[in-house]
Amino acid sequence: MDIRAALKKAMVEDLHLEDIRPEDIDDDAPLFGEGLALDSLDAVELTVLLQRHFGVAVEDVAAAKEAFASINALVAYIETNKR
Amino acid sequence: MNSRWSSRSLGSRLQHGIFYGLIRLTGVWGGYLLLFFVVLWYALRPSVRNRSRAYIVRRFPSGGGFSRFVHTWRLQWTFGLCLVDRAGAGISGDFSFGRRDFNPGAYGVQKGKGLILLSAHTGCWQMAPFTLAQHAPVPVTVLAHRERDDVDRQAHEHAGREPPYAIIAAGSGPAATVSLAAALQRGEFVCMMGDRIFDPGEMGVLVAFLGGIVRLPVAAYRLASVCGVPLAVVFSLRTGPRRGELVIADIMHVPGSLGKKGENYFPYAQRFADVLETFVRGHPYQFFNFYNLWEP
Repeated sequence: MDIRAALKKAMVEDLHLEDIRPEDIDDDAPLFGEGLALDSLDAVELTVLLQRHFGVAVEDVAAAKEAFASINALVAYIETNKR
Repeated sequence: MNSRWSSRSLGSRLQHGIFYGLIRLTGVWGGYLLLFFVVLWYALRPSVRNRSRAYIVRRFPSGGGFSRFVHTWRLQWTFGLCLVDRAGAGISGDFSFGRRDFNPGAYGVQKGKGLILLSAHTGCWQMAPFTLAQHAPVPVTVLAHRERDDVDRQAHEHAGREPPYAIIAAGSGPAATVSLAAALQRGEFVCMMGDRIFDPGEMGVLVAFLGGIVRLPVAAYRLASVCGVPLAVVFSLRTGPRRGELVIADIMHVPGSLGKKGENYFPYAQRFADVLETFVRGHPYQFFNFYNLWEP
C-alpha cells in the first residue's frame, strides 16, 4: 500500500471518521474547517498518527501549518521527513 | 467568543490606572481601601449584581434578599482582593504562593511524563501559572483566553517582562493545539481551564453542578486521552493578603482511544464538576464566573 492510501486508511480508523471511506477523501481539500472538517484536537490525533504509522514528528506550529493543509501536503511532508 | 460572558473588566483604563498608581504608592493596602468603596458601588448596581445572581441563588438557596446582597458583596470583594493582589505582585513582586499537597508524584504521576493541570476560575487563579512556572521542574505552557481590548493587566505586564510560561491563545486553531501536544510529549506541564466554554463551537457535555445542569468543555480530557498523559485538577485559593495556595483536588487517568464524541468524556467532566462543587462549598466566595452557567 502506498503512503497516500495508508495515510487515508489510518485517518479514517484512528480519527474515528464515521461515514467516510478512505477513497472519499479528496487529496486537495482542506483538512480543517471545510473539506474534511477536522477540529483542532484532531490535529493532535493526526500528529500521533503520523508518529505511530510513519515515524514522522510534527513538533511546531510552522510544521503543522505546512503539513496539515491537505492530503497532498501531508504526503509530501511524510516523504520529506520519513526516517 | 461566548456571547454570555466577557473577560473584559468592568472598569475603564483610567480607573485601572488609578488603582495601579495607588498600589505603587501605598502597596496593596491602599488598593484594598479604594476597593472597599468600588465594590460597594458595584454591589449596589443591579446590573452588576445580576451577573452573579445565578451562582448566589444556587450556592445560598435559603437566603433572602438582604442575605443575597451580602453574599454578592463578599463574592465581589474577594474577587477584587485577588485582582489587587495580582497587581501588587506585578508591581512589587510581593506575593507568596504555597503549594500545599502539590506533589503530582504522590499521585502516581511519573516524572518526565507530561501533565495537564486543569483548573477553574477560583481564588487567585491568574497567579497560579506565574508561581507554578517559577517552581515547576519543567517548562509550563498556558492555554489562555483574552479579549483584545481588555485593559486589565497580568502580573508580569506591570513589570514589563515576558511571563515565565508560554502562552497559547485559546481558539487559535489546529497548529497551536499541536504545540500543546508537543509540550506534553516533551514531559512538560500544560495548564487549561475546565469550567468555561470559550467558544460556542467548542465541544462540551452537560453535567450536574450545584443542583443544576451546566455545559463544560471536554478538550482537556480528549487531549489527555490522545497524548496518554495524566490530568491533575488543581484549584487556586486566596488564603490572605498577598497569599495564595495551589491544591491538587484530583488526578485523572483518561484511557486512550475514546474517540471524538463529547459524551465519551462525560465521566471525566462530571468528576471535575463534582470536585469543583466540593471546592465551591468550602470556599463560596472564591468562584469567579460572573454569568449564568446554568442558562441552556
